[in-house]
Amino acid sequence: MKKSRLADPDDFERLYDATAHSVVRYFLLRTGSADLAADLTAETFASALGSWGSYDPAKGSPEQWLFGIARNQLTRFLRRRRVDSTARKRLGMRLHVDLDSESRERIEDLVDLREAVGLLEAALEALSPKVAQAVKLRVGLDLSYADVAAELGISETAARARVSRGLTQLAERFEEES
Amino acid sequence: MSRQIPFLDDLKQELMEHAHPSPSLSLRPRRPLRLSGAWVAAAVFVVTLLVGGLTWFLAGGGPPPPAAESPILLDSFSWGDVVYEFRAYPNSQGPEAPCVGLEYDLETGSRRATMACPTEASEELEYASHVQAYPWTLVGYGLEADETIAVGDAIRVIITEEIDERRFFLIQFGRPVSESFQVPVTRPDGTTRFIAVASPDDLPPSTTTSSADPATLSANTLDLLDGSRLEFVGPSEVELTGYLFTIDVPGIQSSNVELARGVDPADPAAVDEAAVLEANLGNGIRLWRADREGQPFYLSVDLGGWGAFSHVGNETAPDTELLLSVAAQLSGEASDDGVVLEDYSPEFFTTYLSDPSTENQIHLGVNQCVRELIPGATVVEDATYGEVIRGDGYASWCDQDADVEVMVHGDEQFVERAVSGVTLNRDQAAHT
Repeated sequence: MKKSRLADPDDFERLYDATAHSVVRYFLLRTGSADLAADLTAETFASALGSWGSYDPAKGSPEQWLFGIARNQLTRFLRRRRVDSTARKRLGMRLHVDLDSESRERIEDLVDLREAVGLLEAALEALSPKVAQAVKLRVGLDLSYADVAAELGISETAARARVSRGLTQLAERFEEES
Repeated sequence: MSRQIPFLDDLKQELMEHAHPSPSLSLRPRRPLRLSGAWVAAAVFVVTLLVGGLTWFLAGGGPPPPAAESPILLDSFSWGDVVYEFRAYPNSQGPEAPCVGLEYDLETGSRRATMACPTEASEELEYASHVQAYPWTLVGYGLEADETIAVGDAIRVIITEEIDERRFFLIQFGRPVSESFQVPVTRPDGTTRFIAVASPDDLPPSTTTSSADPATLSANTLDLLDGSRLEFVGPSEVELTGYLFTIDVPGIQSSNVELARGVDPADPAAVDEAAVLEANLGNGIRLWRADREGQPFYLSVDLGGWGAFSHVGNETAPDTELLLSVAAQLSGEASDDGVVLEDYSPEFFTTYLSDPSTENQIHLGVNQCVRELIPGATVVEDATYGEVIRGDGYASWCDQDADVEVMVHGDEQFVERAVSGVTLNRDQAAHT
């Protein structure tokens, strides 16, 4: 089983050049936010660089491997509602992205944001009404779990579980479409 | 064609600085490996190399560390759906004494490894091995052909094929190996010899279990409500005590159901000290009027050694047909291993394991990963589970493979042992 542990860092640079726009677009489509997309992109590449030695060509192309990491980052973000910074911290990189207006504008130009909103709406529609409602209340309206539970007339435990399941299903749906 | 994005250019520059660090940016200065008495240094070195020092490694600066080149895959095994790879690495001391290491994939695909290398000191023993990866796991080498390891309380023993005239072994225990240990090896003629394990005093701090008391772990297979089965390795003092899940009850939307082991559903105190039997519907199904404000009516169902309790009505007693329909959702196969519901499969539920003599508990959130930070808790990176939420007497993490969230409550020592030792392996194929 050959691995790229000794791969030239130039290979990583080539991977970055070939995929950076696609990765940031991937995140923009799924979050609707240029800032979040930039943050997730930075963490994804930092994570990829940090584990570049474990990339196994036998399991797929570098692009597939990279987007696997991107999907994991998105899943974590959806579950925790904040972008991870572990990989950047490990490498000693800056932990926060402060987008300048030019970058923000050009990232937003990468996609039609209506497409992103449509994607989210379609994903929400695919959830069961109970679960979708819980996700909208918790994530969309930023209600506490206690408030979500009161709104839906269910226990707080059930509210937490519904939101968790909904976010997991959203992440899975995004994964299927990527 | 996309236009240039300054952010992406800046990010690239920052990343490549870390892929090509200048000497002053090297993450850690490297010390040459000592040639004697250095297996601890070797283990630390390799862990640093594979986990933390990858950037430095990619840069190609300095002499290449010999212990990480050309690892040979000896064996692999799955534990909790995580694939572990057991590898031999060249030793700087020469090819006749390969190091042995254990690597495994985490959620993000990153790899962790720990390693043992023979040293001059250890050669005084027949062959050395040491505790690594898990505090309950021994790996080593030096088995002769047809020799077998006889460790009675081991959960698993793996012995590899012969490589360079050596056979490697891995032993996983249901308890910490907290003192010098000798592995008994049975020869083909029936006699026994011992392979000594390094003293924990010689172990790198990251692989010792100083906080763990000698209480044991045990493996139990639990029946889950949805018909799947869960192999649970964890502190042996906890036992399955119940489940909590939700059902739909007409008129009051959803209702929590408590399914408790060893609780008599005919005992009013199981519902409320002041509960009064309202109706006995037969087949172990009872309706109770309880002294709970706004929620007076409760249903209990006897599952044989297990009692199910559910709130079923607010204003008036529900009619018998409704009660029987609710009770039907609660029927199932019950045993000491757990309960499997026959006609209802909750989307998510919590399984409770408790130590009857203490407040120590482990809750398993099945099909869920809420991962909520409790007040005062922090997120820490754990070598085994990835992100673990730790608070005062509390820890939780998600086992993505089993689709179970583990929540541990109790005294610090118990929490430490649970974090270090809980392993899950869920057989969802058993789902009916």
